Amino acid sequence: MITLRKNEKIYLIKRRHPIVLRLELLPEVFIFFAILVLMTFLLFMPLPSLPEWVIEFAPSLLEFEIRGLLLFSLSFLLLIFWQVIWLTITNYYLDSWIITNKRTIHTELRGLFSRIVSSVPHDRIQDITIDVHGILPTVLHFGDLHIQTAGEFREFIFRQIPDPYKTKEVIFEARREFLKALKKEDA
Amino acid sequence: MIALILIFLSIAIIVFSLISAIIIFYHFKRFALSADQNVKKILNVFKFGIIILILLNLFFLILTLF
Repeated sequence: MITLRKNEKIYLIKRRHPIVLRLELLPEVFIFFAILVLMTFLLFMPLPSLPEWVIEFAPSLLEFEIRGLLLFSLSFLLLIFWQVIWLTITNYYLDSWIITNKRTIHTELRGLFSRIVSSVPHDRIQDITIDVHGILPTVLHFGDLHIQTAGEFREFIFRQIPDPYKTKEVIFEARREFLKALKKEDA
Repeated sequence: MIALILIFLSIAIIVFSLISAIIIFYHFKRFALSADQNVKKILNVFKFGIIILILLNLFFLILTLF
């Protein structure tokens, strides 16, 4: 787990806007519930017998009840979609930006077996820019926040976060406090 | 023959589910914030869901075979 340093306090945890997750999950959840409805339908409705061409193609199918076979296949799909839904949620939940009183931490999933954790101390921050474009981001107040950093640190991008302007203020406030604390330590 | 295929499919999906569960648990344990209380709840929902669906899959397999 990501553990904080001594005397480090969390100011803000940011993830992508929930609407982004909902839009990603919509087709997966729809298929999941469609399978559930179909299974309920199969459990209670009478089924016609197998067509003749199917029986000719695979006569051993007659040994099994068609309802059981269909329910087994659908439960198989249900299990697959449950995992797909949770992989999407994991990807959303663990792509986060944590602003503390000392640094900004970023964790990002790049494929199932590749995750990046990076952090930048507040004194390295040079500039912050906000990028909101499109109808949905403008209406729902979410967008990208870019942090330009000095030295070997790369550019930090908070993607599709809600309230990017408020986040910018929090980062600048944290930076001010961090620099003040650094000056005190030097003195 | 079909019974064997069904059993093989069932075992394959259970193994696949367990592997994906391990990956999801690993990511949450390794990369979530230690102070985050929601992680436990999220993992519990996932865990119970996957157990129920595996049992449902096995139930329908038994129902089909016997």
